[in-house]
Amino acid sequence: MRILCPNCGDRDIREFYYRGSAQDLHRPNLEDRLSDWHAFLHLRDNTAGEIRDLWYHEKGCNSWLVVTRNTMTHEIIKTELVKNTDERRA
Amino acid sequence: MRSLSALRPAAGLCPVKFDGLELVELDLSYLFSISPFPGFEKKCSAILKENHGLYLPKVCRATGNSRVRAIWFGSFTLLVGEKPDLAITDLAAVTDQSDAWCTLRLRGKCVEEVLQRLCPIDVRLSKFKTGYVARTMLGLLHVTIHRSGKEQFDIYSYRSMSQTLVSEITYSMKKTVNIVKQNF
Repeated sequence: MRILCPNCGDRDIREFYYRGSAQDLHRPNLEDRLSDWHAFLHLRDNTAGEIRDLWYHEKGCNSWLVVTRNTMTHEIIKTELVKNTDERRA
Repeated sequence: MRSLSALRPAAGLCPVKFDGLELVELDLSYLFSISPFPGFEKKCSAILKENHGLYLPKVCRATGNSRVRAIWFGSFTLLVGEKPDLAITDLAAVTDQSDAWCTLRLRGKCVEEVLQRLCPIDVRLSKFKTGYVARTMLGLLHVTIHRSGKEQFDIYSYRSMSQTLVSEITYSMKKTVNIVKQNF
């Protein structure tokens, strides 16, 4: 598998570190309701199809990426820098 | 009292020379990382132009000349050769990294063959043009590679890894020279 890094171009999967769902960019605030935290931590979808994940280009430009990937076809649909998305946490 | 003088990271390890290939250590005096705060990139670039005569480089590129240059380093830009004006700290996070990096210059006829053995990216001179920069691996090391001349690459690695860096490149130079000799 190869990932198209927006900075470095087409690179091997082994250059990247996998973190998990891009849902992590929407972590509730500390003072939010317990139910929000429960939903964030435990109520996750297990999608067969398009998913959005966080990857870190560890052996390259040291950027966090959001990679949109299809788990049925293994196709990588989109890669973008977290810092360029609206979801970037302050 | 005896006067103490600082050693370069690759002191005693460089230069290394084989038939037309040369690995030397660069003494770059000052290395400062500059990462502009969001939205201040253009202002930062203008200040650099005013003080050092160069703009902030684009992704995978370097600007400047052999004396002072700015190199894209992934999460920051490395200003090489001069101290930045303190005024820039209002616009960017700046750290002095002068003694943190080991910088080697590899030059010679078959320089691309030497790097091809070590790096998982396309370093052919026809593709990796002068002024291009890449963050990649060299053997097991994380490095930044800058093509600074016709048959010349500058390689930046962590100071703590200088011995491994020299060893990896030297081994590759030996192999390359031997193969080139066999073929001609």
